[in-house]
Order: sequence, then C-alpha cells, then structure tokens
Amino acid sequence: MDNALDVRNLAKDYGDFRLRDVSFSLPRGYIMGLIGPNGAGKTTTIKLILNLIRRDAGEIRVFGLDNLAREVEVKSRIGFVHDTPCFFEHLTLQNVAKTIAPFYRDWDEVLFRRLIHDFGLPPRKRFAKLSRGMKMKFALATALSHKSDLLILDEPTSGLDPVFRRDLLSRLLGFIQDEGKSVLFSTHITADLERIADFITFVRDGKIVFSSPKDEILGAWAVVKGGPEILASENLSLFKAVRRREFVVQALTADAAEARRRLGSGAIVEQATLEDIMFYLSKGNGHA
Amino acid sequence: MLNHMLKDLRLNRRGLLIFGSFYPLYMGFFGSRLSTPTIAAILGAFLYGIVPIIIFGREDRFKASGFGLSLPTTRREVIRSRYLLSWILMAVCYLAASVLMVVMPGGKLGLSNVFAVRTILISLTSMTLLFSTLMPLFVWLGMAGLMAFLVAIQVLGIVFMLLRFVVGRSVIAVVRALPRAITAAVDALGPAGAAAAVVALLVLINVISLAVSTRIFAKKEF
Repeated sequence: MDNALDVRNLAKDYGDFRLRDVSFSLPRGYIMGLIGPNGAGKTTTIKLILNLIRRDAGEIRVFGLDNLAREVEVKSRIGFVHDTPCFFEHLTLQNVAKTIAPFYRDWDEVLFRRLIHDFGLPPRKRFAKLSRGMKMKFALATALSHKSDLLILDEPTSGLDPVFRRDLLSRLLGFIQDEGKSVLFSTHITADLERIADFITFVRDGKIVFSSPKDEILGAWAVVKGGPEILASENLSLFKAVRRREFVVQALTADAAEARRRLGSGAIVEQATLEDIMFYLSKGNGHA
Repeated sequence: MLNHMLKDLRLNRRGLLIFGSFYPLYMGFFGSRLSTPTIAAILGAFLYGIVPIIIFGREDRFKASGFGLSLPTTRREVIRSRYLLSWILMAVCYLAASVLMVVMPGGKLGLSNVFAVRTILISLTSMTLLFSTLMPLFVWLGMAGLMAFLVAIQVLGIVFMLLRFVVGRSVIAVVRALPRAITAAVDALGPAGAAAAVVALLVLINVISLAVSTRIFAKKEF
C-alpha cells in the first residue's frame, strides 16, 4: 500500500523518558488517530516527524521521502497544528499569514481568506488576543491553506467548543476525500476518533501498544465483566488488563470472540470503546 | 533565505524602528562630540552588535521558534539568514551613525576621520569580535546567552583588575604589546596588504562563528 507516512524503529531518549522502537504506517487517503495517556510519547513522535527534535534511531518517510534528507520538500507537504499554537503573538492574523505564505509554493490566499471567514476569525485581530479555541482555528486555517497532503494535528480539539469540534471533524473527512491526502491526529478525546479515524495507533510509555485499523480494534477488543472466577488461571492469557472491585472483576481483552467462547454466560462481554482501551491499558493492572 | 529575512524583518518592524534608529542616533551624537573616532567605532560596534540579538530574541520570547522550524526550511538556512540579516542591520546602523557623526552640528569629526580605512577596520573588527562571540551564545542559550556574555565581560574585567593587582604592571605591558605587534604587522604588509589581511581574518572569524552556531542549532530541540 502507498503510504503517506512510514515510521520505523523510532527511538528518542530523554533520560527520564524513552521512546522505543516506534513503528507504524499511515496509508494515503486515511485518517490515523494517535492516542495514549499524557506523557506517552505522542507529541514526541510528532516532533520527530517534523524534525523539531533529534531522533536517536529509526527512520521516518513522508510520501516515501526521508524527513531529514528531504526536509524542505517534506515540510512543504505537511500541514501542522501544534497543541499550543505559537505564532508571532503581536502580529495580526493577516500579517501572520503574509509572513508564512512565502514559505509555501502552493499557498492559496483565496482559500485562506475563505477559511478565516468560515471560522469567524477577525483578520485584523492580533494573535495574542485570540482565545485558545480561536488560535487553534487559525492554526488549522493556515495548515489547510497551503494544500498540504498530510495534516498532522497535535491535540487539535482540546479547548474547542463542541460545534467547532464537529465542524473540524467533518472538514477532516472532507480533506481526505481529495485523493491521496491523509491525517495524523493525536488526541485524548477518543470519541472524535471513533467518528472519523480509519486507523488507531496507541502509544504508552514510549512504546506502540497497537497500530491497526479502527474497525478491527473495535471488533476485537472488549470489556469482560464478571465475578472473580473469570480470573481462573486458564483465562488469564485472555486479558490485557484487569480491574478488581469487591465482588466484580472487569478485564480488557483483545480477543472478544475467544472471551465469549470460553466464558459463555459466566461473564458479560461488551465491545470496548477506544476510551475503555486507553483507560484499562493505562490504569488497569497488566494481569490478574 | 530571503523568506526568512523578510519574516524576521516583518516580525520585528517595531523593534527595528526603535533600536535601529535610537542606537545610530545616539552614536551619531555621542561620536560627533569626540575628537577621535576610535572610541566611537568600538562603542558603536557594541551597540550595533546587540541590535540583531534583541531582534531575534523576540521569537525566543514568543516561543515561536518551534513553529518557525515547522515551516518548509532547514536549520542551516535559518542560521545563515540570521547571520546575513545581522550583518546587513549592523552595516546599516554603522553607516547611519557614521553619517550622523559627520553631519551633526558642532561635531568634531570630519568625513576623512569617520570613513578612514583604519576607523572602518576598527569598527568591523569590533563588530566581528562581539557578534561572532555573541551569536553562538545566543543560539545556544537564547536571551540568557546575551546575559551570560555581559556577565562574562564583567568577570573578565574583574579578573584583569585582579591580575594587575597581583602580577603588577607586567599585565599592562602584555596588553600594550598587542597594538605594537599590530603596528609591526601593518608595517610589514603595507597599508593595503594589512587591510586585506584584517578583512580576510574577520571573514574567517565570521565563518567559524557561523559554523559553530549552525552546529549548535542543529542539536537544539523545540
């Protein structure tokens, strides 16, 4: 499959935190959600893709191009929205756009003005005077205005009102309708990803837990609820994480069909949401 | 490279207007009161060398460097454009101040003094020594680099005073030997040869400084 993004064996050591052997691929024309708890390595991965920090090992290819050797070409095809947009605070929005437009060969001023208008952003207002949500909208407008082929969004929906969040999600869906365009979307709000993502990559403690098609994940992963007897030794290999209450055990499995077969009517097996998966893998005990 | 320079100019219009006009004006007036241009050349170089650092420091303040690097560019290009823009700014400040020194009413310096090859070389040398030291520090530590530099100069001054106190006048003799050595070199090379040698040396110092800054910036994380 033709990939927009290939990350192979990526490593970064901060001393107190290590990103280890991170590998995943995002095919062209799809949206990938990058999820994980705070400090899992999502932003580090994104910064490595953009060469904002130096990798210790591994390889990153964007549309088949090495992100370091072909840095300018790669970055001109990426639209980036940072989790805390840092533009030049004292400039008005139209002046920020004037400043960054010359860097992009395909900057579309008409599209930029339309997006600014659609997002309700005042072009003569200083960037510093915008709310967090408006800053995020502006960052998105600039990322979309240079006709990027790969959008990389780091926590774009945090701080946004639900109306704009929905609008953003539908825009992302519209974005990938244009053949060959892709989105890498890091977020804590997993409900957003359940709406639009095609692939989910879960990072925890600097390692990839899984990177698979969303439907495959939601079809296979389940929350199993039952009495303590479900933790019988022959079942333990089924569970990725377990949470115990006084009389109830809740466990996460990556094989819902096998859990149903083995446990039968002795347990309730419910399809897991992405939030369940993130919660159990972050907070549950690794095993019974 | 041009995009970066335009970006920095656009971002810092106000700062450029304030510092870029105040410093030459100040030096123009102050220099015109002096009977020898050497002090004006050295002091002026210090002020002009600070201008680009103050300008680039604003991006540091807004924490926008990471954003700047997410644009289609390379770190090498960012540093090269900053060196080029810095020298353009310093040259403009220097020229403006020099012209003001000459035309300022009641001034003691004439055109031949201010634009003498010796004065120009002293200015270029002072600017190079300051800027080529300051810029790698700034790239490494941001505005804290400027502070570190200023503190280092104070410390050096104190060390020199202590040395003079402890070792005696031999320290001064060593320092005074330097101009004598330069004069001897100028005599040996002739005025044109010495000027060319100085310019070549200054270019080399700038190239080394650029290389060091590029290396530091390549390792920075945003």
